[in-house]
Amino acid sequence: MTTPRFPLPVLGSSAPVEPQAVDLPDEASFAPGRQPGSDHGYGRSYWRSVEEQLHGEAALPHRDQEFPPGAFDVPKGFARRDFLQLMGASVALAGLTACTEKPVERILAYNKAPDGVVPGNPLHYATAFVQDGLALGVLATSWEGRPVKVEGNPSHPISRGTTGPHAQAELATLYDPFRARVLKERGAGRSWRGFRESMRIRSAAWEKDGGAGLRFLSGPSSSLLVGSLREAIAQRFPKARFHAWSATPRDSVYEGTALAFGRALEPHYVVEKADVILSLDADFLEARPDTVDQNLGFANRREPHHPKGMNRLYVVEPRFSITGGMADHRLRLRSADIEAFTLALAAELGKSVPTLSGYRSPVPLDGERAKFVAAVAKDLAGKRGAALVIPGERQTALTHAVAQAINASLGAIGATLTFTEPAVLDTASGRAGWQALVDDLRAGKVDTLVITAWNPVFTTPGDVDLPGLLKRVPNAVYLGLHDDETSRAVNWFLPAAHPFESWGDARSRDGALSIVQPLIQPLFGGISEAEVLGAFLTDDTKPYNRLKALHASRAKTDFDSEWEVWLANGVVPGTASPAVTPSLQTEKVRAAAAQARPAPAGLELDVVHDYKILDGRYALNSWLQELPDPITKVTWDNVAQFGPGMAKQLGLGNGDLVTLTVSGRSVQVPAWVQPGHADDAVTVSIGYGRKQHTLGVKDADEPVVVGHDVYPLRSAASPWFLTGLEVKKTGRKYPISTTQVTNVTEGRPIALMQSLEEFEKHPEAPEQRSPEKLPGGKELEGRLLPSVQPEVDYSKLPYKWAMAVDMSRCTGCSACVVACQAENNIPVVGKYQVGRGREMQWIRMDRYYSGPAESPEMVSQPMFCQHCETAPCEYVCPVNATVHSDEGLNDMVYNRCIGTRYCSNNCPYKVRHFNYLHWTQDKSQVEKMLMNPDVTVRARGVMEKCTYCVQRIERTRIASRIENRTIGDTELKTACQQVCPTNALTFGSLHDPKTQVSQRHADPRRFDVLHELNTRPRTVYLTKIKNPNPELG
Amino acid sequence: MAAAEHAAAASGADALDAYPLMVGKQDNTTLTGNLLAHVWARPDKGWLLSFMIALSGSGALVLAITVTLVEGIGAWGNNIPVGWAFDITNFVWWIGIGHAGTLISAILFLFQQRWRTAINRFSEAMTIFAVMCAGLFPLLHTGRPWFAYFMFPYPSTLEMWPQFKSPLIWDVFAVSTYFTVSVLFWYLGLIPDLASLRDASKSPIQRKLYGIFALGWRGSGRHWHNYKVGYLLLAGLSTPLVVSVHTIVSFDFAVSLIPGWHTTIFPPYFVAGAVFSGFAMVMSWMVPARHFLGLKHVITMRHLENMNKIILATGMLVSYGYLMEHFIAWYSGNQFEWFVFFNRATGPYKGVYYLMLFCNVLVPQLFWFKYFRTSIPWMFIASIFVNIGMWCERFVIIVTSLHRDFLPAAWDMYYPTWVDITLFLGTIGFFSTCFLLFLKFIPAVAVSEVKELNEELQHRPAPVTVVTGA
Repeated sequence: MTTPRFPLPVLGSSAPVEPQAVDLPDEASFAPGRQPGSDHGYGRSYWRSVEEQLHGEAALPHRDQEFPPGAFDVPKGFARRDFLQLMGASVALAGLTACTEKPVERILAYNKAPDGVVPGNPLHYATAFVQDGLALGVLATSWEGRPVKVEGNPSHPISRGTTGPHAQAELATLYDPFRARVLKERGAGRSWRGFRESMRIRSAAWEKDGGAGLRFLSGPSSSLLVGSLREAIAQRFPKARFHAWSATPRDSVYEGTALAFGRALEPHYVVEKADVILSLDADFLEARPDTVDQNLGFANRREPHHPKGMNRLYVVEPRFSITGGMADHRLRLRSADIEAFTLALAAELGKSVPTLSGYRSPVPLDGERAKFVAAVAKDLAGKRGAALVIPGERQTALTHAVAQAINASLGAIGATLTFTEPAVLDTASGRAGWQALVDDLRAGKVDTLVITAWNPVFTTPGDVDLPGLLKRVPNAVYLGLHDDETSRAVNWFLPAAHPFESWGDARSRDGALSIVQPLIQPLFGGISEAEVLGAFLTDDTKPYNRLKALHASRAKTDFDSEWEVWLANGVVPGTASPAVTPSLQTEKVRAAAAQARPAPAGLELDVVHDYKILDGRYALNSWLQELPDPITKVTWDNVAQFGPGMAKQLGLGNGDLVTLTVSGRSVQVPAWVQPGHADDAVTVSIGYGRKQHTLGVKDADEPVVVGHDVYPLRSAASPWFLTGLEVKKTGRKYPISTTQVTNVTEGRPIALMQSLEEFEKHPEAPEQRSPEKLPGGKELEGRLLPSVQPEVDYSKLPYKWAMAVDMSRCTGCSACVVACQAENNIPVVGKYQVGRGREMQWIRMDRYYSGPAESPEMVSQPMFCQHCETAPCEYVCPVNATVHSDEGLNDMVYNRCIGTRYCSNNCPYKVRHFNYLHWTQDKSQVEKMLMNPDVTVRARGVMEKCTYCVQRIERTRIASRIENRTIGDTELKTACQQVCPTNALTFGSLHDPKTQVSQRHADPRRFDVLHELNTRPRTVYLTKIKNPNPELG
Repeated sequence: MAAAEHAAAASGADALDAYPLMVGKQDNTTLTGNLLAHVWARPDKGWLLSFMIALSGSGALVLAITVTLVEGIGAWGNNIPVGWAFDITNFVWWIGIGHAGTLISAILFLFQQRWRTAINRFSEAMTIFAVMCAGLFPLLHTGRPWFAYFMFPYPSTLEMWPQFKSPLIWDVFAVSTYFTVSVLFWYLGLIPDLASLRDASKSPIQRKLYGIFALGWRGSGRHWHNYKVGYLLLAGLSTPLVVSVHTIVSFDFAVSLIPGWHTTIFPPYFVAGAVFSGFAMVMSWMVPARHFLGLKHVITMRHLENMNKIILATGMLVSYGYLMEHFIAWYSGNQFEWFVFFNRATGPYKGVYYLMLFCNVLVPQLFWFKYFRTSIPWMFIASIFVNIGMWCERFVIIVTSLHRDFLPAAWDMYYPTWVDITLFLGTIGFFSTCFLLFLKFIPAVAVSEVKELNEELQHRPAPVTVVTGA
């Protein structure tokens, strides 16, 4: 191949740097970005002309005209400038293996390693993964200064050692070669110093008028550092304003609590203590930084032998969500009707609970819904102190307030629900905070707008013309990871440093403070939010020093040593917010509820954030793009989900392109028939429809549009749902790549599900489950398919590795799929190849529906190599490339594999994946940094599959052998097991009957998938148990 | 009765058969002359045109192979779960086609079926070329064909052996043995004719070339004696191979546990199918060849009709195989097994399935009727249908079994790419190229054997007509 696409000058690499197609107007730009570690104070600055001195930089004639034509044209070939660039970049990045604040030593060999670094042995650093301002403590596995894997931080109160899919995929964003590299002013390259200068010149004017025209638009943040900087800026420019914007705001949570309790509070649902849970369109089982802890709590109560019994989950929602898939009873309802449902529930409860009297629903509920409300109300009322109602972020403030009123009345507060002060600084990141800015923009009051929120031009609702408004802002600044829609609408674009590249802090939902420490030097010389805010202050302190100064007072004894401990632990002790016991403003809520109006009838448009790319910020993250949606199994696209009844009525099938029109704005989206979806609603997810490079996808150098942009349909007033949707068929088909075409088990005993009642009646294994019986109950003895594999005596060896999957716990969130991808260097293949059935993820999250299409039950079954003791793949391989280890692992010998694919054909579980093309070819230097050095990167023509993370087994074995002991039960975790927020996966040795995995193997719920084939899988499954309410039966 | 039969058989025109084994009065001179004529004749326009078309097909094959090697198997439509598709379909189809030749030359030789004499050379050549086409696919279908030699038990410094439990290893031995023996058998039979060509050569270059390949054959009694012994031995050696090769190929499927593959009926069913398709392919080529090469007097309607009878017989065997497959799938009560057969008839590939049934079950039924058995256009069309049907059968077995197996979540569809199709058509082109070259340079009929037959026919009593009935 010729030049790599994104050469990163690395030590020892002679790859030439591709010329960057930017103008290089001044000397400072010759160093790309900043000189890492160097001081930005360059002494005094000299003005260039009288005009500049008098009127500021804006008064200068356009800089391009200062030099003769062609002066900025990039020379062809490897010119002197390229050489200088390469030299500069090489020198600048020579210290790549150190952290930002360590002194840059320009050495070439790694012969004096930092303390504790043994080449070839990874280290783990605690930091935090932040999403919408909420932190999730993580540990990053770092190889010689190169982070390659993110794990949950066990000492973090929300994470407890697990994460969700986004945290797992964050590194793919870090090593995204398409990240912006050049600081630009109106498209022309500038230096950071130049930007500071420009702001310094402007600040003279702001100091005079108090910064009346100065506005900041950021994403919701919980960073105390950012908070202190904002305060400092506000002190210097009292009239400057800070606004927050998020396309996925949690405003209704705070507005609801404000209505219910008089002030905005952060609710913490202690799901584990709840016997009965009602979710009002709350997707509390989606593993995000605000919900990861709820997953484990919920899952713990899904085991039938839990001492407090199984919980029962009711879900009311329009679309089929992850939480809906776990529901014991699910009512599909338009989002707009959920408020009325909540009021009807309050009214129903009011019959027995005096504090809830006086509520009434604006519309009477009809048969099925009334029955549902009655049953839920009875169930909730019967479990006072152990009942919980969780309202969703998409719901109205009133729904939140009434839900909290119900919680308060049912004694949930203090038991299943606690409150703290919100950890985020911006409790209004939706319409409330944003409207004031839009008004100011419209009024032309804004002179300088500093945007650090993610791509607001793209995420703006369709009824706000932000690009048009930005044109009126003379000085708009945008800090972003990528050169995107917003960067093209502003005059200053600052390439951002990834959070894993910069110092900062963040708080989790419960207030626990984590120091975000950089894991690597900024790859592309990015700038952090704190640095940008610092540019508006007079002192030029580095964020690291600001951070230390800010938290210096927290130390009880010696700051420096405590600081080290905080960094090492990832959580600053004693920072969690104390629980508050708010008192319910009963009358206010009731008065507000009385104002509730019936929702307008008609088809509803539901906008949801995407399970994978959220609001679009992960649109360039190919791991998440390629991750099959936990419910629809669609990759690389968003779809308009229709209920089965509506799809039938409109004659729609999957992939039919439809035009959705609401309030005169329309977009085209492919239709998707989603079982269990409300028929009078259509759900679309935001974030797609951007023209983008698809990183890591073979032969995808040209940017393409991925998915369909539905932001134009959104309204600022009602971002989440709108009635009055019109649907028109276009008659065209749109290709959709999904990883699962068949949604039902065809009556096969594969993914078993039982009700608690059935299970308790027959706790002994029913025929499908017993390894000794055939389906139908016939004795299996002598009827198993004979195996040509010899019997192996596994008792001689210290370990007998095995896995168990508790399907009662598994929500299907797919965090394991991404974790496996990160751990095992699994390539991304792109939409086209996924459509051709060539996806490479080692974990296939099988999802089956049962029951009627209108109200199906869902079961998720992660399917990966079962490590069969008598593996059908092994005896058919002609070259011994897949063989059994003594400890029971089914090993792949990549070097030996010639790629006949016979093993995959003969695998009844179809969990082997073949490198049909050279997926890992043409990787840029930056992308290569993502690879886990413990795992072979597979070549074209080789079969691969789950290895039980054999590299982790071997690392742990080395550690245990050094200490002359055996590997303990909790010492070794596979990547999927470690990430699983619900602890659905366990791995260990079967030799010790006390291990978790042995216990699960002995569980009466255990069954072996396709055991009648005599494959003797080492991975077993535990039947999913549901706990339905007999009254709704 | 026995006497009558014997007498009838000796005449070359069976008492029960109206067609003679040889038309007209021939002697050694005329036979040598007209059977070698097509070798000496200058290539005519028809041959050149056919050859150009076939050569373009070979060129397409080279292109498709190049794309496959450069890009990888991803250039094909294969995926997970359909790990094998056109590749192995083509392999099995070609191997099947390669069965007619050896069956005709070896088994019919051992059974002393004299009608084999005129067609054995022809069909053996087809065997060799078909096996060459077939052999391409196991090599090409591997993800890393440059390591395909791992399949051979060579003394490696890694001390690694192939995995002898794998049917793919058995394939390697079965196919390579079959190819070797077929080539030897064919070549041995060629030697006397090559000598004839040498002796009849008009230019020194021709004489030298044919002379080299004739291995110094002088036609002495000792030569003939050794030749006959060797030929008989090779025939004996080939006979079990006819059965074993396709049996072993069927093990590729039967040994696995995929429903639709894991079937004990496969070995006989595959062998019958192979002979069926092989005879059909011979028929498809022989009908035009005997016309254009002027061989109608030695390849008579008798030969054609006999072959049609074999097509009917093997077609019935194949149909019985289908019936039993479906019956056992139902009778076993195995839901996976039953689903596969249900899915073949109702699933997304049902078109291929019904085409297969039409071609392989219905079309051969024509041959119950003498009219169709002896009608040149009908037998040609029927043979083409059988070829198509047998390809469909392999596709149905391989793709429909894989695309929906045990776990519904893993199910997917297979669609061929242009490379798949070009590769398949390219092998047909390559096969045709080889075959046209064969027709140009080597006598299409075993001249010495036909002359021997002619002698036999002429030195036996005249035919006796058996009058049956009241």
